[in-house]
Amino acid sequence: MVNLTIDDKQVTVPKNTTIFDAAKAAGIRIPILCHDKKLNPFGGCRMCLVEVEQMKGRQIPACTTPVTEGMIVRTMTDEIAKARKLVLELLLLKHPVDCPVCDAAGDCDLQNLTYEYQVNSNRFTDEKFHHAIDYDNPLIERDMNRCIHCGKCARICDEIVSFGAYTFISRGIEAKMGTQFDGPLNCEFCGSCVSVCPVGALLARPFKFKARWWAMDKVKSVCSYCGTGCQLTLGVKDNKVLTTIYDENQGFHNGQLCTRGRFAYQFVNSDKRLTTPLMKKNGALVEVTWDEALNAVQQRLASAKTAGDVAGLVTPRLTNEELFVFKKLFKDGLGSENYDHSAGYAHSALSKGAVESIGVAASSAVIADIQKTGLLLVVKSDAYETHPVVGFEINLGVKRKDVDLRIISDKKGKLTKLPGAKTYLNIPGTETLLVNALAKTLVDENLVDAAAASITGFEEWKKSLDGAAPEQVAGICGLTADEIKTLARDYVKAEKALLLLPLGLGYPGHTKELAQALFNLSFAAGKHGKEGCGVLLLAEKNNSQGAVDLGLYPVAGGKDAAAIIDGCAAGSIKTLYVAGENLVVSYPNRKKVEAALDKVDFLIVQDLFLSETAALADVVLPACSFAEKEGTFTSAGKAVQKVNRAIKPVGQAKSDFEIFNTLYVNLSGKPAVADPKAAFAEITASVPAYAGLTYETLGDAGVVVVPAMTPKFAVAPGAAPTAEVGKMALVTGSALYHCGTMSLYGEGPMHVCPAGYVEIGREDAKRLTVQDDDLVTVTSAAGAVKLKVKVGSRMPEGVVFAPYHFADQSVNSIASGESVTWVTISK
Amino acid sequence: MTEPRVFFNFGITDDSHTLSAYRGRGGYQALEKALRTMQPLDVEKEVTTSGLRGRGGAGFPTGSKWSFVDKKSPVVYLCCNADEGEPGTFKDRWIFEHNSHQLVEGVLLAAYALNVRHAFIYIRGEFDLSYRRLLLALEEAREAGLVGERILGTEFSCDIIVHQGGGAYVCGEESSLLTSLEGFKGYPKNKPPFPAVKGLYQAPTVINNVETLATIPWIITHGGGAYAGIGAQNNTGTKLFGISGHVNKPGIHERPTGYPLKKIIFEDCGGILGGKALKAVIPGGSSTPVLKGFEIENVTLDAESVIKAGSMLGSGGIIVIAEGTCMVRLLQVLTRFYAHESCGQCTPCREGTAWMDKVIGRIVAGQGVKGDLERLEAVTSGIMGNTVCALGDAASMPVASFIKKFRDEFEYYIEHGRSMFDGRLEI
Amino acid sequence: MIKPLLQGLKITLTHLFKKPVTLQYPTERPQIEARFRGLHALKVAHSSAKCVACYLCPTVCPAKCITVEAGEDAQHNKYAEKYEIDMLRCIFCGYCVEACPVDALKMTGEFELANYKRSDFVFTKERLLEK
Repeated sequence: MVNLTIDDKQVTVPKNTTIFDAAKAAGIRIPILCHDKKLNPFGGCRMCLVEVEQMKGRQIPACTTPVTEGMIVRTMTDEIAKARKLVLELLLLKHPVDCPVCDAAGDCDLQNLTYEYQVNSNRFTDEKFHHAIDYDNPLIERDMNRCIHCGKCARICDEIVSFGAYTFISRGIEAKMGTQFDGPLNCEFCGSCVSVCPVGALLARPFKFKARWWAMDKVKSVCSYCGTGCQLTLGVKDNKVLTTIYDENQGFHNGQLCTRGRFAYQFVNSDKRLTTPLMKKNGALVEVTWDEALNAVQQRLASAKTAGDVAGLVTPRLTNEELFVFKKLFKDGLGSENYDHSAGYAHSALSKGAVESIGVAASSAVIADIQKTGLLLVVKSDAYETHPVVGFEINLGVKRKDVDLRIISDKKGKLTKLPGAKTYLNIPGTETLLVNALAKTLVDENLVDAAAASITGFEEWKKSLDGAAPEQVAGICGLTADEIKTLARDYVKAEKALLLLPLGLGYPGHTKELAQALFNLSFAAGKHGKEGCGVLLLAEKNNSQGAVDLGLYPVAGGKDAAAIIDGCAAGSIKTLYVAGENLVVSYPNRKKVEAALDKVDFLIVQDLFLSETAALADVVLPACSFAEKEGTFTSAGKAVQKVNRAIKPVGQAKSDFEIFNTLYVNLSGKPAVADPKAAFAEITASVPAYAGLTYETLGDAGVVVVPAMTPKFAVAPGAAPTAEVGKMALVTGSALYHCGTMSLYGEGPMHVCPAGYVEIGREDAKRLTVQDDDLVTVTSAAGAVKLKVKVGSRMPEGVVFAPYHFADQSVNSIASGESVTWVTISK
Repeated sequence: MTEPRVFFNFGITDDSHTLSAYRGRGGYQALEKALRTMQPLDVEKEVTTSGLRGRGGAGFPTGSKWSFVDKKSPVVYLCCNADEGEPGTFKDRWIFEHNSHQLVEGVLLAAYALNVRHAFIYIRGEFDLSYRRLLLALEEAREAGLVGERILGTEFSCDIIVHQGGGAYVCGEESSLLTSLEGFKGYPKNKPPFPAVKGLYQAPTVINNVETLATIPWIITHGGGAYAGIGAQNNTGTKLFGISGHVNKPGIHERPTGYPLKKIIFEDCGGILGGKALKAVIPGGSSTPVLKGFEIENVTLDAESVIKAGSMLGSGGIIVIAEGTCMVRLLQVLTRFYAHESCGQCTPCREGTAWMDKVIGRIVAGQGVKGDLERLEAVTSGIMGNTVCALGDAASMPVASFIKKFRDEFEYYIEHGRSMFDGRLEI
Repeated sequence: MIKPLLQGLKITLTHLFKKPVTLQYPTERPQIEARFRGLHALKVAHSSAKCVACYLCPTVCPAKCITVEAGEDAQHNKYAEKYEIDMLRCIFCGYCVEACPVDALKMTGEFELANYKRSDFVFTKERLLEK
């Protein structure tokens, strides 16, 4: 610890703290333009100059200078004020000062400091720049005339996003922030650069000219896309969500967002939103009143209750409170346990795998462990695509904390490009075999942790690994035995090691067994229950973790998702209540799903949009988006976070909470759950991990719950998919810009990634003589689909990838829920 | 008494730059002596005793610079700053062109003292003959077993890597030199941490000027005490002075420090061109404050004396200005240079140098307005001491000193829209 | 007692012979001073409104009677897609004119704002444009 004096205040801070941070800790504000707490210091703007008694003569930049013992710092003297004023005058020399038409006005650091230092007139004058403004992409507008050369965009893109889209080009006064070859921006469009730009040089085009910063209400909420659980601030005006506002103090991610989080909020106020209930009359959906629709639903459910032929599929995008009432509606109102979510398999790693392995449907690690670990083994490079902000954490871990990154994957990806990252490219579908081979190495080489032997099921598990030796499976997995052994040794030798596995509808291969194999590996290596250790299962949707916490899947006797679809097809399910799921597009085997839904007597769909599933419904109930309701989401990192109501419901839409509640009261005759708060109180009473939580204790930051775990070895056999000769292995998954099917209604993702595609390696593309944007037919046993080709260096030979989000080119019309789909590709 | 010579101690012939010629002059004997008979610490001690001060401009004692480095660190780097870009300075070029081996030997000696395995020479991109001569010297030395693995059969190994700069003046600043060497755009680094603690690739690094390093063989051969006995008391040894401008015989002269400035101009360089009066002298490269003719009366060429006169000895590039020169237009040459060479990282330098150049350009074009001088002074005082590296200071010092000392010329120019000294200087 | 009465009569009588101050509106028109704050007008330059839709007038308006919606034109410039002033709420304080950074708004001498329908009191951009 270092003691120093700042403005006559005694401050004690850790070594290597900068003067700026020390002052901040003491509550003293030093103005900055080029510094951001997430980034390495740059020291370019010279606004943070302070005086240090021991270094008289020069003014010292506070953001770069580390504190030393006994330092006496003055943050504001006449000299400093003069120097800062000069800096502002010089910056305003070239700045166009077009505040009236600049969207940053009101939230502009340069503007605020100009006011603060009363730069009412400029002693200097100069000509302004006339750089051409970049309108080439639909998301980020770059007006380099306004740039003040803080370099934050370049640093955030390099240090955190690890893309490196920007750099300074030219020198001196001609220097400007440029892209590669000064061409148009071609990047991930996460908008991190926009968020840190202190002026209006980088602007979000979807929000351009929409509102002034001061006229918007800022509502804190949680992103409703993936399971990362990023906190957001919504900018709201006239009952419309107009933008997301950057707040560097929000969440573990310090306000950092991805394309979806930052640019895909438009679905909330989309024109395509359902505003009135619809009912099928004479074969067409027509608008009806809520009373009529609810009456019809209620009558049908009442009769289905007696017949016992009702089932429900619910989306894990709903709040915990809504899922809770949905479950109540089914259990108490309809006396049925036929409900499930995420096609069943997307949550089985948690709801079955983790439950059997650690006794609770959750990961044994949290997101904060990523930066605390020593070795991070990611199963599938897709972890970056499914959870981009977790990807940023990995980037930071690798670059700043020297995390040793290893990736087992069927394709390369962004993570494999990180410095020092080692990728083990395996044959698709052999992940479980491979993980078991890692465990077998530990057993064979006597590297198993001493405590592991006392864990239940150890002997049985050990026996089950016979035949899983690296030598035996190496060929099947497409790796060498040495590679497997080295990886196993490195994993066990690392002081802390973390395993990471993304889950989701696009990953049918990420099953219960794979999760259990990972858990077993962590137990065997003694990498369980410690900081920076364990298995982190990244559930796909914003509240997937909450849905399994609340048990939104059949436990005893009820039908699971697959059985429900089969039941519909067989006629044993006559009434199906679908809340938010778009199973026609996202569940495996589209033909089968469509046939099943056709058979259902009465299909109730409750959704934001007239989705492909809703179009088949008998009654469509318009529901509310996350911005219109109050409740909680539980992230993949087990953070329970509060969602706040930002706008009134769109049209006549009602919140899922209200709809379920009405039906529940009428069908069960029991009193309603008063409000989300009351529902949450009931949840905390029934879910052990949530015990003691209230909306008040959650606050703005949320609470990471740590459930009690009891490790148990579970036998997790792996099997290699049988390759079909002459066919290519199609693996499905998530595209970086999309999450589920909801992001198709957001502007940002649709600008960057508007349609489905099939990604083919260069060698295969050459063999098939296809090029980028060629239309090819991908045929499997289940069917065929036409997709555009994307040629890249990511895919190994014989493996192709297609994202699952798109309705028009839906991959589920060829994939039927196997980890690998064997396809042929023809022009 | 003939003065001792560190550099000018041989006749220049067609092959005087080669290894055999250098060896014939006793070259590489200092290295031999050091490697066989001295411990690294002894070498450092000799350099400390010699009182040698950095020849690049700042004049920091070399011995104490070396002492800051943690020699036990697994990696220590040595960088030779050969990015000689200061207008008016051309001494390193002479060393490269005529005696690269002396520098190579100096680098090796410094590397031995500092436990350096890899030494870098960052040479100015515009140097051509120098670059070729240096490469030639290195090749010869490598073949002779003087550079590389197990030098002269001892345990000591050191590689010298030559890197050609891309033509940026700012890369002569030590931290931007390191950034450039690391492969990034040559932006200076914020200090602390200083290079001696965290320099090239985050390892402790010593950066010395060409002349400084090339002096070390002499010190090792003759002993630090002998070197300390030459020249002025606190600024020992001999130094290369490059005299340019309005003198009859411009060129490089090696003189012991403490040599009278007037003598070097009027005797060694044959006086002012055309017998004109001396108007001003810029004593240490373009970035040092200008001195008026009468101010140099008693100035001797050592740091203290020049500082007392109100300027700095800098790199020893003396620019002589004859009576009749228009100082306004002369200043424009300098501001244009600094505006062009500012890297653009920090605000005061990026915006300030460009603005100063613009305003002085405006004055020269006859469109100066009242208040320009006051504003220029405000900008220079705002730049000075507030920038990441010393380029900001270097750019504002000439402006401040020119305006201070020749204010009447500037005021005349602004008022009349033309120079006090119209037309071309007749010499 | 009679004295004040006579005084009053005196005043009445003097006024009988003076020019009447009453204006025979609407046949006679009042003279409007230059600084009179009447109906707003959006100034025009280069055949389009000068307004850049900076939202400073709705921000400063104490009666909250100005509605602006900005749009992006073909040259990517900002302009007022919608500019409305609700004259029923306007208090004619003139802050909007004062706040305008581009001198795009003025207040005219127009004071006859009566209308038959409430909706007609909401002046759209077309009606506000300087004639």
